[in-house]
Amino acid sequence: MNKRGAYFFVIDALIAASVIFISLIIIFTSHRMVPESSPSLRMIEDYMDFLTTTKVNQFQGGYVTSLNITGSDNTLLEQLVEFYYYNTSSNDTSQIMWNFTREISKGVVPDQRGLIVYINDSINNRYSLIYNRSVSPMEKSSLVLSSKRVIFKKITNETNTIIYGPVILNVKVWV
Amino acid sequence: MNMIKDKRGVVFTIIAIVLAVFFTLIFSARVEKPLDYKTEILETRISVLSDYMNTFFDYAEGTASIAGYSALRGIIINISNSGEYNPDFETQFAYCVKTGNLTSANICPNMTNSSLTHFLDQLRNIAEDELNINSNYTINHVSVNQTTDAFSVEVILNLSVKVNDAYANISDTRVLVSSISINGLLDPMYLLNGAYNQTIKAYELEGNWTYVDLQQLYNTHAYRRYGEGVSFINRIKGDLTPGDSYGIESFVNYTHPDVNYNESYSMIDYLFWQNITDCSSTNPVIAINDNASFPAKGSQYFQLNDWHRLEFSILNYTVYPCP
Repeated sequence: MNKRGAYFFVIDALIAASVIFISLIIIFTSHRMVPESSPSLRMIEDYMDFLTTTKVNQFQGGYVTSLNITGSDNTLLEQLVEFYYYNTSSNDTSQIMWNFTREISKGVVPDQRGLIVYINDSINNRYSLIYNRSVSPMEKSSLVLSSKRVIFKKITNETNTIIYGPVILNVKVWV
Repeated sequence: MNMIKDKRGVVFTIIAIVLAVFFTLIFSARVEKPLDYKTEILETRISVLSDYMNTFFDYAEGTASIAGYSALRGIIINISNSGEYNPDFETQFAYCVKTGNLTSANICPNMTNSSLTHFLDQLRNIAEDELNINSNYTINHVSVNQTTDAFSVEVILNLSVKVNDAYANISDTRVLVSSISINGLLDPMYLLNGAYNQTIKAYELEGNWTYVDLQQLYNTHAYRRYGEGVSFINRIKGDLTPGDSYGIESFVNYTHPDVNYNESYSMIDYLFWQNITDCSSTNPVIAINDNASFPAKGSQYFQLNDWHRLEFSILNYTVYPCP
C-alpha cells in the first residue's frame, strides 16, 4: 500500500509540475505576441513612403504603363491627386483611380490585409473613397492602422497653373 | 488512514493548480514591455512631422509662384487703373505676395484668396484639424528678382516653420526660390504708352535669327529675348532705357488703326512707343519692301533700325534718310 502511495505522490507531483510548466509557457508565449502591431505600423508607413517617393516612370505595373501618363515625373501619390483633381473638375476618373491604387498596392500591402484609401478635400468639402480591398469587415478587426499624409499638386493646363490642395490622403490597413 | 493519504494527494494537486493560477496572474498583471517599446511609434510620428515640414516648404514654394503670378497681374491692373508706372515695384510686389495688399492702405487687385499668407494658413489649419500637428510659420522676407531668364522672374522667400505635437518640436528656416513665367501678362509699356494692349508671349528660338523668325514674331505678336532690350520688371517700373541683360522686345503692329505712323521710327516696341528715332548714319531706319510678309499700309512700310535688319539677315530694304 505504501508503495502504491509513493507512486501516487510521484505522479501527482509530475502533474503539478506539468501544470506550472504549461502555465509558464503560455505566459511567455503571450509576451511574444505583444508587439504584433509594430510590423503593421512599419508596413503602412513604408507604403506611404513608397507612394511619396516612387515616380510614375519608375513603376513598371502594366496598368500604370498603359495609361501613358504625360507627367510621368510625378510621384505615385501626386498622380493619384492629379486624377482626383480631374475627377472633381471635368472627367470621371474614379475607375482609373481604383485600378491605379489597386496596382500600386499590390505586393506592398499583403493580400491578406484589408486596405482602404480615401482622399479628404476639406477645403471643398469632399471626402471620397478611392479604393477598398476588404478581406474581412474592418469593423470586426481587432487591429486597424491608419496613416494620413497632406498632399498637394501643381497642375498646369492650357490656360493657367494652379495648386490643387492641400488634401489629406487617408490609408487604413487591417487584418 | 488510506483515505486520508488519498485526500492528501488531492490537496497537493489543488495547491499546484492554485500556484499555477497565482503565477499566471502575477506575470499577466505586469506584462513586460521592452524599454524601447515606444521608440518605433515615436520614430513614426517624428517621421510624419518631418514629412509635413518638408511638405510645408514645398507647398510654400509652389504657392509663392501662384501668389507671385497673381500679384504681377494685380500690379499691372493697378498700373492700368492709375495710368502710371510703378517705380516702387519690388516693395509693393513683396507686400502684395505676402498680404494681398499693395501698401497698408491700398489693396492689391486680383489677390482675393491668393496671397501667400492665405495659402499657408490653409495648410496649417488642415494639418491641425486632420493630423493633430501644430505648425506656425513666419515669412521673414520676400523679394523679387530676374537672374535666370528674360521670360520669368523669381520670388525669393525666406520662411521659418515650427512644427510640434506631444512628442516632438521641429523648426527650420529655408530660402525658397520660385520661378514665375511672365507669359500671358499684359505688357505695361503697351498699356501706358501704346495705342493698343498686348500680352507677353515668348518666342523660343535656338540658333540664329532669320527673316522667317521676324515674320513669325510680327504676325503672332510674340516677344524675343534681346540683351539690349527692356526687361519686364523695368517695363513695370517705367525704366524704358534699353540695355537690360534680361531684356525683351516685340514689334509694333504698324497697320493697327490706332497706331500713328512715322517714317523715322523703328517698329521695336520700346523705341516706337517712346518716339525714339534712334537714327544715325551707322544705324539708319530701313523699310522692308516685302508686301507678302509685311503688307504696306498705303505708303507705310514695316521699319527697323539697321542693327536689327542685320540680325535678321534682311536683304530687300530701303534706307530712309535720318530726319
